[in-house]
Amino acid sequence: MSRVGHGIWLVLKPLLEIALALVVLAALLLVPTLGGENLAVKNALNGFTVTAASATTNGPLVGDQSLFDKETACVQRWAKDPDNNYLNYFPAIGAPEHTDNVRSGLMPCGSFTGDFGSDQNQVFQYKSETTYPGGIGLVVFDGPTAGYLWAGGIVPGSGQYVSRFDPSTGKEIWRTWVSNVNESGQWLALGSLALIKDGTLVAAAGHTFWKIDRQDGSLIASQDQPIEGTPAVDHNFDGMVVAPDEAGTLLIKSQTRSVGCPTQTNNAMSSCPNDYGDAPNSVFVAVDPVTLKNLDSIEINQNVTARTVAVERDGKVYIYGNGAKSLVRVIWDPDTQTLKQDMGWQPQVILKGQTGGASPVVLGDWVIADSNANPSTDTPQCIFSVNQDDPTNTNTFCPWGKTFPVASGATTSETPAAPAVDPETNTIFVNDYFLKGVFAVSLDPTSGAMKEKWSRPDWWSSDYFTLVGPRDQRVLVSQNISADTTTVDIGAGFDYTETALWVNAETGKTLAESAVNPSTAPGSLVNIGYGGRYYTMGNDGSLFIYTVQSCKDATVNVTPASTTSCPDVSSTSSSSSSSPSPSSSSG
Amino acid sequence: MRTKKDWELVGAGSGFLAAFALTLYLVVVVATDPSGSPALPAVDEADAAPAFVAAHLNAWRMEMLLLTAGALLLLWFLPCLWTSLRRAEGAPGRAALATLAAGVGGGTLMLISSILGYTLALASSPTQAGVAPTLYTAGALSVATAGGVFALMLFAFARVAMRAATLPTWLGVYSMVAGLLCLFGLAAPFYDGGPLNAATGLLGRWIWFISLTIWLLLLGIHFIRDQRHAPSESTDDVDTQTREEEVA
Repeated sequence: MSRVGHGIWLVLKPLLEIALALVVLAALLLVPTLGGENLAVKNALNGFTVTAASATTNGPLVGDQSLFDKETACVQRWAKDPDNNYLNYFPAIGAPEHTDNVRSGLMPCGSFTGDFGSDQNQVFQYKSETTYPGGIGLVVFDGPTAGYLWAGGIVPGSGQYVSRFDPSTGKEIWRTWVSNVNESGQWLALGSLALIKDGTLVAAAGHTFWKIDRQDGSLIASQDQPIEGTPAVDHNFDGMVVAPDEAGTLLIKSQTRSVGCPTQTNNAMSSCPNDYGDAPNSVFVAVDPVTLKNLDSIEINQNVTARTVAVERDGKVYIYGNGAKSLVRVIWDPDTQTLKQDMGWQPQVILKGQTGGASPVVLGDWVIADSNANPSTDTPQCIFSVNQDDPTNTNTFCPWGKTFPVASGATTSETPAAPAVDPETNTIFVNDYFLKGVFAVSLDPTSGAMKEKWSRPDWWSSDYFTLVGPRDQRVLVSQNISADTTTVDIGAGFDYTETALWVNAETGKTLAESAVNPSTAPGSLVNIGYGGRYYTMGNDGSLFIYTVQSCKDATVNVTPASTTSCPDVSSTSSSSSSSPSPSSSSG
Repeated sequence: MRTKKDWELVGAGSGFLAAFALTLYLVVVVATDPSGSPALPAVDEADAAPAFVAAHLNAWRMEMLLLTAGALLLLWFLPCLWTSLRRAEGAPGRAALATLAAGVGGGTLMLISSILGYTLALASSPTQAGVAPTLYTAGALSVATAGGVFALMLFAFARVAMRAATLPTWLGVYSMVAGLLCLFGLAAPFYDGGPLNAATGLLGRWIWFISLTIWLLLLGIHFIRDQRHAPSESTDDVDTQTREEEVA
């Protein structure tokens, strides 16, 4: 018996040894894959690659300097006209935090330096030579040679700061820290930044205003604003506008965090209510632009999460917001220096299952509002037009339909950004972070009725839009999240990639599209600079600088190759008869 | 009960397995298409390393794991090698000791290279990604330097093998040739491109590495064959014998 057993063992032993070796080998091959394709690592490494490639091939982007004088003169004229909602800002492209006082997205003095007639364009890109910790939230400019940014609060960090940077390299010139949440206990979230008419930078966050010298970054003044009723540490000022009054009064409201919730960054607004109850009501303040002293402060009847806009109408300054319960209007009276909520203008426009929207915009007689600034799984986003003089006169347009799933298959809707509006063509541009697709919507300026003008189901953006150039050559710009991204990726964080996309605003056809880069701040925008330069704000703390070039003018092929690219320049230069054609395009 | 023969076989087998792990490492390297796009960069193009690693993240991690496995198995194999060499060389066994010391040194440098490679593949922030090219270069140089140290191991082994009757002379000759090739690793720190660079150079990185792998393979097979023909002894016998030798 033992002999039989020994015989079996003699056969079995080598087989078992081989099996064991194979198991060990399989484990050896499996272990490295258990961590998966770590998106954060890929993003970081690819981000470095962009820097390296930019530095060695594309160089700093100085823009088309021949345009500087023309752009400067243009924006100085533009800023003087009250119809353009630019009064009391410094007369420079990008002086307000989001284009203008109504966040229209329109800056006709900005330049598109590619070929407007086709998509035969390539996109130079350069990653900033400085990485800004805490994430960049806002970018403003005082001219072609200096940019300023507001950082901190996008991702958890110790505080917030304002930096001046070189518009060609993104390299930091000075940095002024304005807050430390560890010392103050203040809720840290994205604040506000603008260049006002006296040439100073004004920043706001928490319940504080700061005035900063733009030349050297020195702090000229800082002033806490009064917050009554609820802890000031749970309020965060965002969406500053400058009143079109004689003084240029600074107007802002607070967004609020549920009392007692320790969560930082903007995530607090969506995550805190479940455990700590509803967030308190917002507070509106009016602030002296010179001293930063408080002129008036009122608590309104609801929380207004998204940024507000301001317009002058019939001798009054109206501030519009998109509240948790309704759209709201607060009236600023420069004569009495008082703020007052207009209780007669509180239209409740959102549909059942929708959440309140992002910042409203103003287009002629109409306030345009979207919905679902907080995610909705019940009803897709719709947009609404509400008459400024008659809040019962409203119109609704639902580009994605009124039920889930929508055409893309998405079952969640969220819009961190406001629609853009082009007052010269009465067009509204709208997107959704989860639904995908961009729609251009025509507005009847008399009735407020809306209808689809064009759509791009393939275009995926969470951002505000930017509109540049003259009316007959208007270009619409925004991010385009990579098609291989999933909504799960979006929900999980910032580990996805995207491009910057330029389209013909009239037709929606692609003009230019950058190379793929790491993700940028959701609900932000492609900022317009001078000389055809554009700036996006990476979640990794970097600025991405872009310029578009027509293939007709190309003397090199950009590296990394942009999505719309030119044929090999070396071959076309040797064969002058060959005509350029894009390697890829969409739309 | 484990016999001495079993343990010697495990030791000898580890040399073979080390060669197997390093061969697999080379297979994975080739599978990543190192001349494709993005290409595995030379030292002077280390700025492109993050792009290569990002494009082949799992493969890169597997390479590092196989390099680690190869180094660890080599370190396990070295005492077996040292025992055999000491017997073959006789007292005072300086060449055997030099083989062991150089082998440990080279294996350690390979482990350091793996750690640098692992660190590169864990760069989850821009700041960390910023040093990725440096980690890449340092990792390549660690392996190249290991080559130089292994040259010492191979020369010492060759000295014993070509004199002792218990080891085949041809293996000693091969060791001498492989050792000479390994010396190119020492030249790598002075070249940032071309055939002598540490990251992609034919001489600075690959030829000596392949020679070393083949040497390990041949030696492992030789030892396995040797041990299979040797008589069995229990480990207790070995312990007793060793203690008696020490007393004597």
